[in-house]
Amino acid sequence: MSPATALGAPADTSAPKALSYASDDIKRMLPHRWPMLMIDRAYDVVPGVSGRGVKSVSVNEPFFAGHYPDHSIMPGVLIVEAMAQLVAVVYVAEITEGVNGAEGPEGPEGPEGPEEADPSRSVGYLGSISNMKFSRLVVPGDQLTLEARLGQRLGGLRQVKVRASVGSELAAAGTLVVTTGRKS
Amino acid sequence: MSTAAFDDIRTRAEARLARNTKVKSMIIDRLGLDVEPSVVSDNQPLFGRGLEMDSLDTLEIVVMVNNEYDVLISDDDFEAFGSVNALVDFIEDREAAA
Repeated sequence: MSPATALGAPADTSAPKALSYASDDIKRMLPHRWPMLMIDRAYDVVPGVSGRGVKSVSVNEPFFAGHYPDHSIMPGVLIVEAMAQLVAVVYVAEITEGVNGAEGPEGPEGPEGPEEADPSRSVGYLGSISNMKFSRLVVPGDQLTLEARLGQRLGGLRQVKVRASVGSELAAAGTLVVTTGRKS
Repeated sequence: MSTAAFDDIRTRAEARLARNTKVKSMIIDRLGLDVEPSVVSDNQPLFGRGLEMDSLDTLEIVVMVNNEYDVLISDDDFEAFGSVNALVDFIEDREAAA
């Protein structure tokens, strides 16, 4: 796997470590569960900066039952949801890894304090979807490669460039704004 | 006042007017607002009763200003969103400081 970071990012001189998360790790990071957990694996994750992920699309996905009964295509909004979940992984990784002065438990590199709050509670909401273009149908058997690069932040909002591809073909790309943190 | 000084002031005022108009057009384009730049006044509030921007729009403006002028607006710079004049003042202050 190429060590290059997502979306043609320049190599950072401080060379932050890139992390990988398996499905079970992701379940500890995100509040989503079946049938709405739409990312199987994350890799090349630079906490709070960028990452890549995989969503394998099976014919058993519940949405194919109705979208459409005789023509199985993954709804575009669910591709966006998969992208947004990768963004949440990149964001939560910043908290769990305690990098970049992220909010979270104080202390030097101290992983997994037992009393640490559930990091999945810091996953916020989708604020906007803009310039999203869907370039290819996504059908059973496809493996979506997701990419996200977090951009500017203002208050609790963060802009993110996202894309999803199948093999070498672009499936969708655009810009999201996500909120950090949940309303209680 | 000498003619040279007067001309200088006039040149700067025209440049400022052009920049205000450009910023108004960019905001309207970026946010997809249904107004003409000419009806947006320089001191009209961007939030609330003015252009009715919300916090998501604010982030759009931050990205737009950064792309166009290479000026970064952070959480502490909320005075930049007071009006078109306040935003252009902010951009010009940062450009002068750079």
